[in-house]
Amino acid sequence: MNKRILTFTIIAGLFISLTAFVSKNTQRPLEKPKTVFTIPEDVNTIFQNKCFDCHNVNADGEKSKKKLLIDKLPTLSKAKLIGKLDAISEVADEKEMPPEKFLAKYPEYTLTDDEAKRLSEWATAASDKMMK
Amino acid sequence: MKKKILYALLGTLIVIQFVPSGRPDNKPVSGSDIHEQMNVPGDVSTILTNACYDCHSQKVNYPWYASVAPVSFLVSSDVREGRENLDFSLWEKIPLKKKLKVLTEIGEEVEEGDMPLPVYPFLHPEAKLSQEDRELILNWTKQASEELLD
Ligand code: HEC
Ligand code: HEC
Repeated sequence: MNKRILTFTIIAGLFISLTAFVSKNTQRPLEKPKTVFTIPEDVNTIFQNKCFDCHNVNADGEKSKKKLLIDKLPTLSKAKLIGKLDAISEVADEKEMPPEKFLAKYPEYTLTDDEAKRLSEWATAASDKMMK
Repeated sequence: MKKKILYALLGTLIVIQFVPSGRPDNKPVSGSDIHEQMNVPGDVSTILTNACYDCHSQKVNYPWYASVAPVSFLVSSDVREGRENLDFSLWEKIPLKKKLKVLTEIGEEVEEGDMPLPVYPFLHPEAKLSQEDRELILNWTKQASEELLD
């Protein structure tokens, strides 16, 4: 009888610590969710056509690279990413980008109204989502 | 001939003293400075105050020569443009996302040595930032951003 209780207790104890162990392990990733940041296809097309030439790690200008590297966005910390998305929605709203001087030479880079609206809405929604 | 040029220059210098520089006034709002809104450690505060507040706050100390044209024009436009980009004294009013943007930019500017504006430390040696100062500011901008997201 005593043996049974002992065996039972041991098995129960093992079982409890096992579930605790398993649940701890499965919960860990939930505690710190990795922000998966992806750029939707249509937004990416706008970036590629109108912005990427100046804002990628291999671009020429130091100034434009310091301000924004589109290919590095997914590697940024959450705080920085929100900051950059805010800057993108700002320049899209104000049609500040691409720079006026550049557009004088290459008018085909001008953002259309639809493109500016899409960029701004996407950047705003994406950063809103991250702040929740 | 040389004398005439000299007189002309002097004359111009005197005349432009009467052109208003549109020097921006200080209009602090109580309780809204970043020091009252966020955790700003002492060493970071010293750097911001010495190296940034003369262009990016409502606590601008204008030295005497800032009243003399044409220097006054330059100082006025630096303060006006500086505040437009970032005003530490009106921190409370900046929306949360903009705060995150500005903190990132502060880190970038200071890390690259683009801020303070290079002319400034000539006249204000205490604003010359060491590598250590730059790292302090950079780390603080990261901490402050995390604090805002918590
Ligand atoms: C011809 C090159 C060029 C193109 C094309 C271009 N940019 Fe820029 N961008 C720059 C430069 C240069 C700066 C830095 C401007 C400055 O510091 O005054 C900049 C700055 C920025 C900034 C930071 C603005 C700030 O002050 O916070 C953002 C955001 C930005 N660009 C987004 C974009 C987007 C979005 C597009 C496409 C719609 C784009 N850029 C296209 C050259 C370019
Ligand atoms: C002598 C005046 C002056 C001082 C001192 C100064 N700034 Fe600036 N700052 C400006 C002006 C003018 C601009 C806007 C024009 C530009 O970007 O060059 C600016 C722009 C900025 C911007 C926005 C850049 C962007 O991305 O658009 C940041 C951030 C900034 N300053 C941070 C600082 C910090 C931090 C310090 C102190 C370490 C500092 N500044 C000291 C005058 C100053």
